Amino acid sequence: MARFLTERLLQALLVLLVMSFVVYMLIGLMPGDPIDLMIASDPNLTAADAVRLKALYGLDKPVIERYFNWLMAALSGDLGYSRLAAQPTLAVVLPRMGNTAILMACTLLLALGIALPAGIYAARKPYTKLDTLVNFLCFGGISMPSFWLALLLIILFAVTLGWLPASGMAPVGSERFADRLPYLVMPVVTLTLLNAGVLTRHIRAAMMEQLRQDYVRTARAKGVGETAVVWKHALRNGMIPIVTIISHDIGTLFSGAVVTETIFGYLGMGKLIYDSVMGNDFNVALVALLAATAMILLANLIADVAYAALDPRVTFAGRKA
Amino acid sequence: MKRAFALTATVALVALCGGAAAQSKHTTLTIGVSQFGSNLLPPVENMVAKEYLLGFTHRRLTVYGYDWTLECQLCTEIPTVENGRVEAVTLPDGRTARSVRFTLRPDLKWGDGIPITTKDVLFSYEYAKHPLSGVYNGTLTSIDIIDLKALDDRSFVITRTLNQCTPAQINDFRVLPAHLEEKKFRADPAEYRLKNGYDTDPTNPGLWNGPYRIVSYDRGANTVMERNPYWSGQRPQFDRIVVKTIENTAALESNLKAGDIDFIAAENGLTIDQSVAFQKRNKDAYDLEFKSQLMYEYLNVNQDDPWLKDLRLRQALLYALDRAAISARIFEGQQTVADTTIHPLDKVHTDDGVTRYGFDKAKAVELLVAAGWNKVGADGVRMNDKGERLALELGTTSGNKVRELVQQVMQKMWRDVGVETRLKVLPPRVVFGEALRKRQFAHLYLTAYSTSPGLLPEATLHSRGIPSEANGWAGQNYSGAKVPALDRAIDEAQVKCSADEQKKAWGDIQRQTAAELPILPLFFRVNTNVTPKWLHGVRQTGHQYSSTMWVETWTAD
Repeated sequence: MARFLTERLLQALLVLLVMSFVVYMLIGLMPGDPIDLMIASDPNLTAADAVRLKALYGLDKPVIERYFNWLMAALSGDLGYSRLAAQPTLAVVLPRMGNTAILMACTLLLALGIALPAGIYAARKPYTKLDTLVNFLCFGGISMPSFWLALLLIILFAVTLGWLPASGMAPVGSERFADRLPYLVMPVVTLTLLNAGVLTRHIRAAMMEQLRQDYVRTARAKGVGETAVVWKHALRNGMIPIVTIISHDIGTLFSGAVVTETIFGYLGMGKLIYDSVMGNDFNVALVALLAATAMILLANLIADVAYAALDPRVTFAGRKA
Repeated sequence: MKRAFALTATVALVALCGGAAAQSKHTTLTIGVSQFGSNLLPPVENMVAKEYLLGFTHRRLTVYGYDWTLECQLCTEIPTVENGRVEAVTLPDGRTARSVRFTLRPDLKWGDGIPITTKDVLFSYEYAKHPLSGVYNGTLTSIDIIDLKALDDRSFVITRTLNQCTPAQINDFRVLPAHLEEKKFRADPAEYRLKNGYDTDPTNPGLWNGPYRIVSYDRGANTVMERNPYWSGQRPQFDRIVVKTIENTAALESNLKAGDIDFIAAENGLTIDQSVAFQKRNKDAYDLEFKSQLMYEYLNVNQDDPWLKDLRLRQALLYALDRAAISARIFEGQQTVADTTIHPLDKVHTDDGVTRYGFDKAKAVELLVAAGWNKVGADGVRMNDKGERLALELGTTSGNKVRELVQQVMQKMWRDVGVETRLKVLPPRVVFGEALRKRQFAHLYLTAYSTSPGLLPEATLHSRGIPSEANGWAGQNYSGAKVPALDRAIDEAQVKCSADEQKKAWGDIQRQTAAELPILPLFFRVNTNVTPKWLHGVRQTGHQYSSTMWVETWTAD
């Protein structure tokens, strides 16, 4: 186990190093820079100002030179300042990571809370009216555009009923976590409905597959109760592909909820990554993207450990013969 | 007795309620905007969202007012030759310059009660001149203002070399509190733009000199401001102002209806199509103020293209566009049709001798035929004698649905006179980073440009402004227009400062722009304030200086 974890950790570090290079190059190769965009929007910015500002922000140097300067500084623990926010990079990224972690955890828990019973029930009673209804709702959730659903929720719960705040993170000036809860409801519901559909479909498919297996028939023949058959035997085997899906979802939720975050004014990682990439805020973009990569790698590692826990045939040295 | 007591109590209660009502129940004003400013240090990185906040909290020495004339905010009067504050001087190297004397208002204080003096002005000048300061309009302090001397605690004299015809305009010179910031700057000038007090300690009251000071700053989300007790001007009505950022404009509208915000600011609010739709649905509940802005939509015309070099083709393209109809149909008539780049509200605007291009399909066809596009193919597209089809590429930036709609309408209107248009849409970064900046576009590009009252179109229309490798691709004359008479007029407007000379030079600029069409002007953009019926006095300026600079005139029922 220790050797396995060490190997995976080294692999992760290598991946992060390669990612940092690729991300830096990709941002650097984008046409134009923020100063070019400023020229078009401010009449008082002269050509001389543009040249001076580009030199000041280091935008006049070759991108490869800028990358190695960044890497050396980062390895010595200096992640630099955000060009856009005039704040240390970590002071910008860490609060956003915290916000995203809360959003992600609530969404995943709620999505699993819906998907597990719905998927298992549909698998146990396939092609019934209720299964059809579950499938219909799943496809509805999967195909619903997040911006449309988000606006619909705002109109219903904030404008018409007035039950929830339309957007934001907390009442102005409040730092109590309890005050944040009403603001979390609609973003969580939006992301949950989108994710629960996918999860339910996967759980249904995995469980249908398991419920057809011989060991399930044997268990039933031996008189094991239906609850134990489903929840103890079939679900344990069916969870292996589902764990893979969940580990993938963690990565997506961590960096990919840009639309939901924008509409609800939720300050998460998705919007931060988008803004920093578009604004050539290299320090923030790199740290945020590397954090997202690290989160995906961590989720995959947890999934690998979970496989071994779920399936005794899987060991850290490889699959048993 | 009981009845008399009850009556007296009722009258007292009504009077009490009436008194409270007279004071207004609106003590907090919550404003919705769609963008959050990047930082707070006033002289660095100018952007609308940031200037909106600074309008409440950090006043300028001079600024353009509602009537687009220069006015003092921190100074006592605008220096002029007539009041003896502006004098012509000759520099030791023989150049001419202007000496301009400003006096600070006597009652000015920072938010911590420390008086604002020339010590602050001198520090701000030293900082702005520093090559590593990152000050945005650095040309003002590094090249234009070559000297600044304090005469006493309140008066100072600047010597400026460039902007000689409007010598008192130093809008971009921002005064910083020396007692808080000088030490930080001297400790590390290069790092000051990142480690200054405005961005590290924004709730420090001493940083602010406006009617409000920041008391809470939640980066990316909202800013809370309260009255500055040391503000010596007119007392603003609201105890507290909250500016909330909701980037999605549809959600911004929903927040307004849900009562989470009181009004949507024009500076960073709804798009014109959303405003028009909102007005139709909600005109009884809200007031909408549409105001034409000093930002014009126009077509960059690649004048290196052999077809578009021909003035007749450029004229025909403009005559074939029914811009009034586009404004009426898409913008409910709110967008002003532009004949040149100078807004009708600008003091230097003139109609005298300026060619107008009203919709005239027959004239457009006549000009096309005269330009050699005299045959019409089976597909309805014009051809020249070489058999070349008159097919032009029309590009614009992605993400602006209204602009894309205008692009499609123009395509249809040109099609009606036999001009085929291929539409192209690219992300703004690609457009301003490559396509326009390096003049890598085939024919026409629809973009917008923000200007300022009385600002010469040197960067956009003078041949010096053509982007090239030699000038680091820094100009904005993306069309590549070279009109000698226009260059001359712009040069003269910079140095010939008498009223008659200015009138002639500015008139020539507009006449040459309309006659030679270095660009094809389309519209002046419109912004919209959406305010509740109980809020009064919120008016747009129409230029880049924010309406919040006059927040003390805002009132509530």
